[in-house]
Amino acid sequence: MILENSLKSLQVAVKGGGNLATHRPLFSPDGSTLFVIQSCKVLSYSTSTGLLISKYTTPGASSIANIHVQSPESVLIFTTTGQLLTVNLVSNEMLGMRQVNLCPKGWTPIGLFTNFLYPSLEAELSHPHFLAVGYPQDSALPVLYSISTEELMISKLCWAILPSQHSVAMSPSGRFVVAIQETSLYCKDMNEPKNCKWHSSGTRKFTCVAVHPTIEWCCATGDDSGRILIWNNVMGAVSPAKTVCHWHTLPVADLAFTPEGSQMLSGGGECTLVKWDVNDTTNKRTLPRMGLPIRHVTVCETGEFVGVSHADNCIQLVDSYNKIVGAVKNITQAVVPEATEGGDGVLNNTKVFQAGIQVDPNNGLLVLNGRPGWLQCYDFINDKHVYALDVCQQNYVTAERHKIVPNAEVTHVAFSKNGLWMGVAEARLEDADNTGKYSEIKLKFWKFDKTKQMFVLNTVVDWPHETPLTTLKIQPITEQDGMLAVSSSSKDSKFKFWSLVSDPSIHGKSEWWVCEKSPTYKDEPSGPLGFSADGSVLAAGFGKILTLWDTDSLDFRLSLCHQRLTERINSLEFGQNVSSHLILCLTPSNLVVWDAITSSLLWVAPVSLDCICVDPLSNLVAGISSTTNHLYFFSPDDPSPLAVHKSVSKSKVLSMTFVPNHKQMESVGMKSTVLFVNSSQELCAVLPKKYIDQEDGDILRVSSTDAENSGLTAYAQMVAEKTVSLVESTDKWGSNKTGSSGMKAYSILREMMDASPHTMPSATYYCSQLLKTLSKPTSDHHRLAQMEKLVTSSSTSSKRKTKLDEKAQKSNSIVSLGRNADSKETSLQNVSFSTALLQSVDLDSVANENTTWIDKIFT
Amino acid sequence: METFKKTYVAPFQKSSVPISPDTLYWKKFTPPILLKEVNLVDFIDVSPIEPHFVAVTCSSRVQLYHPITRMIHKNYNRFKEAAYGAVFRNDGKLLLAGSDECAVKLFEVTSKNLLRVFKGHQRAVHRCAFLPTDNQIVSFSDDKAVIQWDIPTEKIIHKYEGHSDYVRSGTVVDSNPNLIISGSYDQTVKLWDKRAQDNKEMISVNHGSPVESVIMSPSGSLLFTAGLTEIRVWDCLAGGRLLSKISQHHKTITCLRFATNCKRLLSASLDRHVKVYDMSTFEVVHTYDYSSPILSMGITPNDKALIVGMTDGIIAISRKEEESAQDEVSSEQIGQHEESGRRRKGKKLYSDYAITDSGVKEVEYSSGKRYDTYLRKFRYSKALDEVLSDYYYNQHPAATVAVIQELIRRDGLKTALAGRQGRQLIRVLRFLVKHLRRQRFMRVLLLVAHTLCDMYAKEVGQDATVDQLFLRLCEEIDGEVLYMTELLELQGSLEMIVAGGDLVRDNGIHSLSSASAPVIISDSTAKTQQASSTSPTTRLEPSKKAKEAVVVKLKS
Repeated sequence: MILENSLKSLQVAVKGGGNLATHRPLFSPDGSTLFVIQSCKVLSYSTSTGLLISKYTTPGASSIANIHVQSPESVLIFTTTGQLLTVNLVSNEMLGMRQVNLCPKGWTPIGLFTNFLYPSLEAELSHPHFLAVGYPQDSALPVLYSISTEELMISKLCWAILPSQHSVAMSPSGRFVVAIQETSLYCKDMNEPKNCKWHSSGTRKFTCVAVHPTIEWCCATGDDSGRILIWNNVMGAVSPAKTVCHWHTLPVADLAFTPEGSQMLSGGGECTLVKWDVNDTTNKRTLPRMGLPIRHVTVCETGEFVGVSHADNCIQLVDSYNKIVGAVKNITQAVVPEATEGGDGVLNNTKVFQAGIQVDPNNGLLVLNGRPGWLQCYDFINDKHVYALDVCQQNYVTAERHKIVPNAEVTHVAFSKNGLWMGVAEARLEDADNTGKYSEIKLKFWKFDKTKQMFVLNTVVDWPHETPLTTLKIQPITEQDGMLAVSSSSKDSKFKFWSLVSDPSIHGKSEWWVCEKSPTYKDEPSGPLGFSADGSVLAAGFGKILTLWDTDSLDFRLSLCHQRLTERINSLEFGQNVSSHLILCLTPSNLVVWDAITSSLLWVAPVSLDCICVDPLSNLVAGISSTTNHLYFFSPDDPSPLAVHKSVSKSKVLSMTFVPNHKQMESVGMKSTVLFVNSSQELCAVLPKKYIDQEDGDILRVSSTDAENSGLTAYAQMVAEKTVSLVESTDKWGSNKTGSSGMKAYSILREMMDASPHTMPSATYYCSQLLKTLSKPTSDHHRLAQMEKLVTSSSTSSKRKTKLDEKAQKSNSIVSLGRNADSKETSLQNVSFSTALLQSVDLDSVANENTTWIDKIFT
Repeated sequence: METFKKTYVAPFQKSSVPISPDTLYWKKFTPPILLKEVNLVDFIDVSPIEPHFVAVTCSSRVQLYHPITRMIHKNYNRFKEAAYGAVFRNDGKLLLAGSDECAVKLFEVTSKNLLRVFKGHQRAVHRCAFLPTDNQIVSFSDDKAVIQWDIPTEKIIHKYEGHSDYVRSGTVVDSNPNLIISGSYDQTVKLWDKRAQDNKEMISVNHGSPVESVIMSPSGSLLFTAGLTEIRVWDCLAGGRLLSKISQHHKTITCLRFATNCKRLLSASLDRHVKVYDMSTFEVVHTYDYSSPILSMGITPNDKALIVGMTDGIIAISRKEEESAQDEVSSEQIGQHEESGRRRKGKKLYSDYAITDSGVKEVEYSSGKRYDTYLRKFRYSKALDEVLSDYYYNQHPAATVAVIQELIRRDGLKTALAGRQGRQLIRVLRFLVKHLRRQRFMRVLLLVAHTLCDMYAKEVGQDATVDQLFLRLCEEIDGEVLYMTELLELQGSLEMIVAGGDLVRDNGIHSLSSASAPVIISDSTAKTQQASSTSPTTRLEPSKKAKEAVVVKLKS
């Protein structure tokens, strides 16, 4: 079995996703590059184009604690295991590596470093050092360490600081160090080992700290009530003077000073960037509605840009005029569950990627949840964010101080087979204790506009069901007439058929979706739905019973159940191709396969799967269990799996789909690739091993070309360096230019076909119009070129002929060729000359001659 | 920075007919100007040439009206008895009218001279027509005959006899000068060809009721006949095949006309309506109402004016609004002046450009709705106050509900409702009382009512008006509950009937009831089922065949 072997040799590779907003992004000194840390990788983006320039992975793929940019060439990378790497990110070369001793004598070993700060000016310190935040193995809270630059000697500075990326700050020289604990501020002068001060904030909890770049002993803290304090002269004998800046309602997420120290920037859950004047804090400017909650704020050393990284993995660049000038968002905009600031926001995994992965039939790209209420389209081959569609069309509602306000989310997406329609279910669900009375549920149908190349909202159904939907499917038929969509909801025990109706009046071009029928079955909770491959049968699960419905008459056909199968059906799929008569049902502990033709149970396997997907191109089914994360490949007619891959993902797999392959995979015998997303928001692909390596090469190749272009604007990059046209310059039928005229001809034909015969003007009225649009509009110059072409083609073809039959025409053709080379005037004379040859030319040039004839008429 | 997305107020379609381009087109006609004639208006014809004079046949005279000024232009009163059916020739120079005097009279339009009198009918002539060529006319008379005359000699050329009752309608065909069509009270419409030797009709169709009006499409293919409440469409090229019946009036249809370059058909009826039909689908696209039963109707080419004559002698002339460029400019200027004046009063004025020939267009400053501004600034109480004002209460409650929905979405409903006293609370309550029972608002407003009751339960008894409104709210809800109960009862009884009907049908057609009844299949029964193969899944042909093919192979 070739297929079986190839299935067994597959490996899982992370193709995209991952969190960009775990660490603060960093600018290069000249502001041209933005460095972003993504677990074990450092990604460099061009600030002018927003494109990925290079990607550096640490040796051994160890996670990065933080980085420091020393010069455009060298970057210091500090890993969580205590390695200090000096790397040239332009050439992707590692220049040096040093290891911090994780277990100094007499200490409990340091398990993990989480942060790292390196002074940018090394001049005035008596003992050069850098800071690191790490967890000793016995401690729940991190400890701030100072590590000497020369010998890498570790000394502890402060215990139990806040476990956050923003809990430590130091002045550019490295002399003044501040750190925050939950309610107190720790300040230290590194030149005088004994000189350290503690300040308390009262009951409010600190969230972030920043040090003023120029004023000595001055720092700013943000707390969870949204208040920002600027502390002046914290090392003085008397208690420091504080300036209060209170605009934020939600906890301050991050603070940053501009390089000159005249302004301070703060951001938080309000999605608003606030720019404070340090000397006059009443003077502030806000930049509202920046997208999703702000996680980090960075300022470029030249002061040119402010980098704001958001919860949705998007880093926006703001210039000094408060304008958003660029964004880095090519990686999946994953939904990060909201309001971890509030403290009670539990990371609810079920809410991530609710709509699963779908393949957009229009372009073969993946569609999945983006920001709350948005869908994103993602090109997994090039790892690129293609577009985002605002489905809910509502303002993002930020959290209240003590309460998380839920936003509307896309829960289900379904595409029609021809890609013309998209059904989307959205829901805004209140907490369970409110019994959902404040919730909102909507079903929307979007139509693909061919000219705009985007989906346009067609129908909105408020409250299609009383409770959130469990399934939304569209009948997989290619024709648009009579296409059905079905939706079901468990609580109201019914599923609904939706169909497309159009305006019956003579001017009506509008069409919309209406509910055709809403069947129930024995008051059982309505569960999953599935269409057969040809769309003729709908299978609906009602509790433990599987029912089949005829999609023509929308009538009940038969029900299937077995006395031993007592669990409710969680999801169901029809087989494809040769097994299209088989229905696969998932119950909590079994996989059940029914035969729809014989109405019999085919087989039951006691395997607990959480999602299955069926390859539309072959007879293959993939299933995954979320508890063990084992991936099974099997064929619907055989209970024994073809291949099993154990623990394919570290976190829970949420959704899975088959994507038709691009050319690379053909040799393996699989027509589709399995892709899945897991709850850590990574998009993974199951690929043969050799392709995994190859893909990495691909990315590098792309990024090296990007690096060359990084200085250019986005438009400049679109312009090809060299243009080579394979199309002949004088296209015979003008097919490459008649795009618009073809449309005109189409509209005239349409008019002729649509009008009823007795109201139509005479055919002569249309005839000339139609002919005109079909023929290519030509200028004199163009006609000249075409005639020239005619001459050469006819002469060459006749030449070909003369080689065969050796006739007197040979001399003629040579003459015409020779003259043709001279000039346009002579070639014009040749036209009459070469017409004599036309009798003997082949079909090609006859066609050529025909078009010129038409052109002559209509010009 | 994203822009603030405005609150979406769901547009709910009104129950009226949706506005089509046709409706807009036909609504451009001004309300009719009424002119009083002495007697019922028998016939209206419009001159084919500018300025499209309207010949109104009424009592014993024919009057020429100017369609724009509506003044009487000419008056032809050389009739001793009632005149009928005055029509223009296609050059607009001659006018032909029948009369009770059994004669047809020919006038010159400009000089009002009586040029010819055609005598030969035994009874009154109600309709007559010019043949498109040959200087000939045709007259349709109550003596059941249709006569073709020669104008210069006043001689009868042909006399077509075949009708058995009054001939009260007739027409000729523009594209074919040889055809004459006559409609009679004997319920038939006959098509005569003057080239035929035997004076017999070429086509005869039966309308089923006395024919009041006949009209032929200019291409000569479609014949429309009107009689009683029905218009019938006949295909003459197919030898008089009935294409369609249009039955939109509820009283006798008296007149048919073409409009918009023969793309629309107009019909007038005694039920006081004029209806406009589309010529390809014969669907009504617009309807006009008039004060009295309509007898006659005319429309100028290009649909500039519609003239309708009624039984009480009133002529209604409605004119289409002019759209000349000059008018537009002047109206625009007037509009701008008004607008700027208004703005000066209300809001800050942003620019005061003088109106020049090629003026720079002022960028429209769209501030959006005020409630959106409040929502943007998180001033929830203000936003709610704004949409509870009289304007929204009366005119646009959907916006109020949309704003409340947005407040719920932002978890700001309680904030917005809190701390209301007296008048502010009354506004909320009166809105609830008025709009709570509207189905599309109910879900949201019930929530508001709930929240309001929770918040203000303690304050009941302090203000008499508020108490009164709370009581009315209670009544409204009780009423709604009762209503819903009744509806559910009705639905229940209907479902019983429908289910019974289904049962009967199922028993009648499928003797095998197992198809619709749930089948519980175990492994053993599945095999027997497979053997009997009575399963109704007949659609999955391909795989079934595949299975059979395999079986065959095994056998061989």
